[in-house]
Amino acid sequence: MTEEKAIQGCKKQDRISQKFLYDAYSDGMLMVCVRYVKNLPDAEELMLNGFFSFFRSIDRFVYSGKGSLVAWLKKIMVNECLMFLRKNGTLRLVEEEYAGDIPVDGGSLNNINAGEILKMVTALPDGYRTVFNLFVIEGYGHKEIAAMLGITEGTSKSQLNKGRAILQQLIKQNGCYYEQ
Amino acid sequence: MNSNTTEEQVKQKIESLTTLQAGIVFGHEDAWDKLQARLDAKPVRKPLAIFRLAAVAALVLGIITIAIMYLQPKQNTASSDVMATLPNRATNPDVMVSLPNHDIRIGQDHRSITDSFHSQNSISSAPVKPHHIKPSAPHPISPGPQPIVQVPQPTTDLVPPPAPTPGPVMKVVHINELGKEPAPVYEFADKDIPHPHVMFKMKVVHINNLLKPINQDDYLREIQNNTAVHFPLFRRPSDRQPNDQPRTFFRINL
Repeated sequence: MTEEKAIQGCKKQDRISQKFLYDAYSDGMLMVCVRYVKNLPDAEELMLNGFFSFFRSIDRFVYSGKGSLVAWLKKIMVNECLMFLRKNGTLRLVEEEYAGDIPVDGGSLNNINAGEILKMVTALPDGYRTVFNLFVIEGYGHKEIAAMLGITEGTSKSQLNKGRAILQQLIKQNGCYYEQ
Repeated sequence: MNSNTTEEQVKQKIESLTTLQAGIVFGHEDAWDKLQARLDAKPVRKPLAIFRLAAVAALVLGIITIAIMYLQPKQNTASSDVMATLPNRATNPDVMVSLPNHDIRIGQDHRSITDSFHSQNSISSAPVKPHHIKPSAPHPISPGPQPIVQVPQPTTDLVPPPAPTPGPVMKVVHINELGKEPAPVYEFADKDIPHPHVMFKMKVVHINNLLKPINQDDYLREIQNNTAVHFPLFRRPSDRQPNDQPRTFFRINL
C-alpha cells in the first residue's frame, strides 16, 4: 500500500489504511512529542490525540507528494503539544528584550550520540526548549513562533539565545570538543 | 555562523532518532487499540448554535420580563366607573364643603398622593382637643352604589412605597354615613368639653379641579392658581387660619 492510497483509504474511514499510516509514523510522531513534553505518558497521549485529529480532519488534507504527510502530521503534533503546555501552564514566557546574539561556539557533535542530544534538549527549561524546538528542529521563524506562543519576536529570540547558551554548556560538559 | 552548523547537526541527529535509539519503550499496539476505540466512538454532537442562541434569548427575555414586572410601579386597578360623591352643600346644609356640586371620579392614576397614613406625628397622633359634637337631624343618604376606592400607592420621595401587597379595599365614606348615627357637624370648640376621643387613620388627598390626585408641589401651585380642591382635616383651633373653613370630607380606613 502506498502512502497516497492509504490517505485515500483514510478518507473513506478504512481502518487498514489508518493502521498503515499509524504504523509508519507513530514512532516519529512520538519522538516529536517527546521533544516538547518531558513525560513519556503525556507524549504518548498527545501522539494519540494528534493521530485522532489527523484522521478526523484528513478530508481537508491534500496530498502533494512525499513529505507533505509528515509535515502535516508534525504540524498537528506540535499544535497538540503547545496546547498541552499552555493548558498545564508550563509555557509562561516572560516578555524580554532581545539583547542581541549570544556568541555560541561552533563545533562538532560527532562525539555525542543523538540520544544524549535529545536528553540535553529535553533538559532545557520549558520556554527555552519550546522555542529551540520550534526554531531549530521545526524550522519556524521568530515571527511565526511569536504568533504561535503569543509572545513578541524579541522574547522568542531571547529565549532561543538563552536556550542555545545552556545547550552549549551542556554539550561542553559532555566532553564534546568544539572546533574554533 | 558556526552555531548554525552545530544546530544543523543537532537537528539531523534528533530527527533521525527513533524510539529504540532513544531507549523509549512504547506500547505501539496498545496505543493503536486506544486510538481505534476513540475512532469507533461516535462523535458527540454539540447542540447547534441556533438552539444555543434561542435558549440564551429566551433566558434574557424571561429575565427582562421579570425585571419589568418587579420594577414597574403597581398600577391602580380601580374601576373608572367607581364614583365617590361629594356632599352637595346646596342639598345638605349640615355639611360644609366649599366645592360646588361635583362627582368625584377616581381615575386610574393615584400616584400623586400625600400619604399621612404612615406619619405618626401627623393628625392621628396629634393631641385631639375636645370639641363639641352638635347633633343634628340625620341626613338621608341616597341608596346609590357604594363608592369603593382601592388604596392608592403613595409615591412621594419622602415616604418609601409600601410592599406591593394588595391593599385592603377601602370604602370612601361620608362623615354622615358613620355608624348610622345622626350626621354630626364638627365644630372646633374653644372650651374643653368631655367627649369620647376618636382616632382616625386618614390619608390626605390633594386633588385638582379635575379631581385628579396631585402631589404637594402641584397642589401648592394649584392653590395659588385657585384651581385646587383643599380638604384640611381637623385643623386645630389654635392652628386655624382666618380663611379656614371646616371641612368634613375625609377618608377612613375601615
